[in-house]
Amino acid sequence: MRNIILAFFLLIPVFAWSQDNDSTVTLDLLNAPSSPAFNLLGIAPSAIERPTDLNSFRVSVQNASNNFTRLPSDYSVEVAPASLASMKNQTLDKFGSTSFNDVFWQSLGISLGLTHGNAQDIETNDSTSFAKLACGVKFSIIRPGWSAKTKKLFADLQTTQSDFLDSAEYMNKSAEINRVKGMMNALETAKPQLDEVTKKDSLSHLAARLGALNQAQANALNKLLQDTTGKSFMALKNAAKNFKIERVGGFLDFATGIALDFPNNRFDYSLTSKAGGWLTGGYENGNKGISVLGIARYLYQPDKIYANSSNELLAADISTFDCGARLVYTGLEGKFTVSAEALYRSVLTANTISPDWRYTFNTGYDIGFNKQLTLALGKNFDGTTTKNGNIIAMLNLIAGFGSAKKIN
Amino acid sequence: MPDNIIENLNADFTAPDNASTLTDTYQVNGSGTNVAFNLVFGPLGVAPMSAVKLDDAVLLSNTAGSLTAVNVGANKDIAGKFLTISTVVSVTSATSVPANITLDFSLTGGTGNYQHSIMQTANVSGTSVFFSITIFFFT
Repeated sequence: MRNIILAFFLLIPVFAWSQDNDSTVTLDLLNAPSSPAFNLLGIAPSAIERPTDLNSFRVSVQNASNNFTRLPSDYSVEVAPASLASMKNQTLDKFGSTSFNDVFWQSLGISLGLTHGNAQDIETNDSTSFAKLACGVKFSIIRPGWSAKTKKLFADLQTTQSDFLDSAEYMNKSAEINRVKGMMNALETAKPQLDEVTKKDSLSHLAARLGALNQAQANALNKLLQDTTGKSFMALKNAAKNFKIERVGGFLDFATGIALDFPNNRFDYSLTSKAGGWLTGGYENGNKGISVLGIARYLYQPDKIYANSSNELLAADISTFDCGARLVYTGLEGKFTVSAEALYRSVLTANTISPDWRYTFNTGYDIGFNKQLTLALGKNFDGTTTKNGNIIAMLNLIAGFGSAKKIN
Repeated sequence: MPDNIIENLNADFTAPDNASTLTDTYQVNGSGTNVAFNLVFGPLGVAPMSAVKLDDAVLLSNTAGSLTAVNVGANKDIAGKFLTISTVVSVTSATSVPANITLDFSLTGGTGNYQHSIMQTANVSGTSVFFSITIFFFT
């Protein structure tokens, strides 16, 4: 097999390598942003609040609104509703689920941003600044299940957690705890001889004593768990640290967002400044076999028009549609890879820019000892290569020196 | 904003105690109605495992995930007994850190409803924390 693949590479003629800047554009450019609202408003990730429970969300809004007395001037928040509301029983054991209900709630993220700036998105703190509001939503529609490797890592984690709980139970058996528990039991049994108030007060006092003992035991256990250099419960620490999610199967994700301007700073008059929608689907196969990725993106008045690299179009009232697909095959235990990628870009509301395509084909084979054969063929959007026959080809023989360290 | 609205908000958004244990009493009656508990964890993606006992009887043996509507027993049968729950919660790469690991515990079926939340913070991925709950049922 190795000889056949080697011969295949050597028989390919070598074409001149020529490309313009557009050829560096990859499918990743079309990827959905993690927070659509902030992507549309251009808010830096460091300025975003991410509360994980209702109380921290309340505190976040309270701080931004001066204790609920005014609307915040600049506020960005990203929340997972399942974390905030009573639906938060979405624990790790349910992350392998492929049911729509689990997948939707676990992946649902809502982003909301409010800022002030002028028409050029610059904050001026004068009358030219006006309110800008954006909201975004993202969620998964189809999600693949865990790979066999991930299932094994999760089973390891559960085994070590069980071992820990068995140890914890053993360590929690204290003579003093049993003595206090015995006294509480005696109070309950002696009820007929005690009035209600005395009994409740006594129980309350003993419960406080038991609570202090329990807390001391828990603190000791938690101290051992938090000690990263200590040898106690090392298996649990390693299992939690090593757990990574790898999925195998088809997936489909959706994200959308809209940004509104309020030129008069009145909420009864708004203009849509930007909007977008991203649909991402494909098939994940871990680190072997065939993986497929497809992305479609619609943008209304984007900052930069992908199909308009020369910037001759103004973004006002422009809608663009871009899409792309990538197919990757990894075989021979990771030594042989083949990938193909195609991109389409267009401006929907202007006739001055024609839609165009770019596609590439890449393959590589690791022949060992720091030697890797790679081949790239393709057609660019435009430029020299397109004019000369639309073929890009490259044959590389990379011979490394020194040790036999693998080159990826 | 009116004070009563803020008070209502405060009631709905009660902050959990920053603690790893919950020890309390719960009043039951002489009826045959079952008492049940819920134990719900947050935030998204944490990996909890719990062991539940009523005195020395095992109700749940090392069970993963949140626990909902777990039957403890009839009011008349559980008076004078201790419900003990030991839980370990691991934070893996599936959860963003720092994470406030919350544990919402509630009891129903006795003379009233009971609800309490406790919380610990995990600053790095790969951390595990221990919680324990002890409830004494009395009449």
